[in-house]
Amino acid sequence: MRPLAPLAALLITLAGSLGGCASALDPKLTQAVAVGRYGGAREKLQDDVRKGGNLGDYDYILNRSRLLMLTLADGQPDAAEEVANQTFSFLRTQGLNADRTIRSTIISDGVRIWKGEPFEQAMAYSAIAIQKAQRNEWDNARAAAQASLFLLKDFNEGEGKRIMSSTELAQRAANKEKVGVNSDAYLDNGYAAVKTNFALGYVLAGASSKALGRDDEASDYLREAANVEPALAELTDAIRSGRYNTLVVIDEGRGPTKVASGLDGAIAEWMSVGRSAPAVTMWTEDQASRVGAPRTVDVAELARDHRWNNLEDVRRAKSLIGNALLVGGAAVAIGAEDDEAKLVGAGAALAGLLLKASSKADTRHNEFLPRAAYVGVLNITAPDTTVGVQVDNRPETRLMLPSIAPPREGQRMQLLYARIPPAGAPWASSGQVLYANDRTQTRITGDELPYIMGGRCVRAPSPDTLARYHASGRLKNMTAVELENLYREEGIALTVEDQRGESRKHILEGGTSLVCPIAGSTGYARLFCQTHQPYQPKSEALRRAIEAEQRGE
Amino acid sequence: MIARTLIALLAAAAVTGCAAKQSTRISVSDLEETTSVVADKLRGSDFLAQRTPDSPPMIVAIHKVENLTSDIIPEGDRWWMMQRVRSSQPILTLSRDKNIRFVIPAEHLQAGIERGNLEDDFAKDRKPTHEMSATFLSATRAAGKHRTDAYLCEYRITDLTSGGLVWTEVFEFKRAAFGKGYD
Repeated sequence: MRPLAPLAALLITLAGSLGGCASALDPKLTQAVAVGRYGGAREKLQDDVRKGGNLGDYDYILNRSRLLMLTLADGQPDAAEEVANQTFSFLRTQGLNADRTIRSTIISDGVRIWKGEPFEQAMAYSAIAIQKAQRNEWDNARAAAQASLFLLKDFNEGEGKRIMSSTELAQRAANKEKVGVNSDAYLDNGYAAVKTNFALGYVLAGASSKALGRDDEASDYLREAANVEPALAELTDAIRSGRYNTLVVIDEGRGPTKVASGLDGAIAEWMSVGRSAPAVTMWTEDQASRVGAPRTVDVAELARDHRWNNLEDVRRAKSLIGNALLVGGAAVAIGAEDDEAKLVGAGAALAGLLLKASSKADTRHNEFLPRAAYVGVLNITAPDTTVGVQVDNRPETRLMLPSIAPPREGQRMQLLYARIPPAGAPWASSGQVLYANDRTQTRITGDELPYIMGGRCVRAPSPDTLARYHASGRLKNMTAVELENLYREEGIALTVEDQRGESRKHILEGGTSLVCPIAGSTGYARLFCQTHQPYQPKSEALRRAIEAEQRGE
Repeated sequence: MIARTLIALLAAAAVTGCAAKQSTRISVSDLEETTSVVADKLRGSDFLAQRTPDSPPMIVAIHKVENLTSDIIPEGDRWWMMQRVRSSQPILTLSRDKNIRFVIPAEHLQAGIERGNLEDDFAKDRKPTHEMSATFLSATRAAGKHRTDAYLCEYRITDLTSGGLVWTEVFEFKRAAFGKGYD
């Protein structure tokens, strides 16, 4: 037996390691995201994306999808540009795992390049569409929204409206195998390719077409949305008529979680808690009336629907084979009287372990998907408008979005995207802006000095900004360039270009970015509607400038 | 932006093993070929040949390419596609021999003013007489593991007074890919 020991150890180590290929997300990140603290989470994910590089990174799309969702929630569509384009590029690449079939089946699913279940892909395309629309690139938004509208594989055989789950489909395939039908052939060919029921994609494609002035095309998409979900009829009529200038997309709740279940954790299942509301209520502070934003997608419902999932029954089969080999091999090893039999038995047991480990389901998924997405329309006519959103009868979900302005000159409409933090947060319902910033002209107590010098202004350094300080009798001997240099001395990025197109945490949260989030985003409310710790100067230049200001020089 | 797109495409090729074509997306070389062909056609066009130093002045404002394809074309690439065609004709030659001048695009002007880089009245006399624009379109056919996208890019110069087209050119190409779309 001794000569086999190193080999056995190697095999066991290999078997033990195979199940762990999938990258586990730091639980602190999900906790931070649950209460809307996206800044630090974005920075951590940006590190993962940077370290992951490109070659051989099986979580390439997964990490980018995660980062994309949080960067949008934080109101930074420009910082999401690169990850959005990279995500789109890879999602549009066909057969990413085509040459990994053998390895993925025999060795481990962990070696597969993560592309997500079809519903995760559709949600990623939607996020890209939202990101493009927020940059006023409605044509690119249209392309991304269209990409989410791919055909689905429907195995229902005239069972009416009830849609089979993935587990039920696997059971059906197994039953067919019992009666001599080739289940692989059934899964390969036994479906009908059907039009998607992804209403969010139809709405985004329709709104994008409308923004481009392609009214006929918009009508087609919007009609499909209302066909899929009749509760959207009022919304789609409003979009079609153009009686609004602001499209509001609201994400709410935690998306489903993918867990390993069944024998040896061989089957991947989606778990979710509770139900989503059919609509959220929106209002503007200057208008008494409230409008409903209907649900366009319930992500947990998609996760349950076999048409939105890849087929998982192969894993179950592998698990069963693994167990059979393990039991058989161990029995031979223990009971054998001669060395050769023991060797054979040990080998079989090790092979069983190998397959058993490999049969562990791949539970990688995008943890930052919402439970549901809602879409509403508003007419924003004045700057500094505050919009409120709330899930009906749940005051803990109230989110106040201040400082919203009408679309810029020449823009037909704008898209706002906000995410209601699942665990709630005190700042979410405040609506009171406590720091002067680039999205509002409203005077704030303490805005006569920059935050880095002890004030409450985080506006970008510019002649206009400096004129405000001067008008308050502060920084009278400082020029805009000198102020900008102070920021640079502190290592603070003033633009997304300064950040090399990446995500960074805002200085109010201890980060190094002064890039202002979009008003109407959750990130904007979190940054500016709560009090932060005073800034701690890092450079000698800033310390000297603060001292000079205090001396009145 | 072109460089980033190139890096992303190279990375995609690396991860996918550089095997058979797996994406019908527009590549950098597609954009280069499109702009090269269109620029050549503009250079040899009747529209330019007929103009002389004594022709009525032509002040052209450029718009970025409108993307109506199934693919995302980053904003920088869309400006680059216009810039490449415009800069294929020497500015001085156009101005001196053809009485054609180009002015800052309205979008760049507005962005510059909003950022505080330009004065509010900067280029207030730009008054374009013509605009140069382009539209990228596509049609998709997908069946099983096969997908084909046919692309068409149309460049135009339009007289803003009459609304008439003074020059137009079209370039077409097709891209096919094979593989499971969802995997």
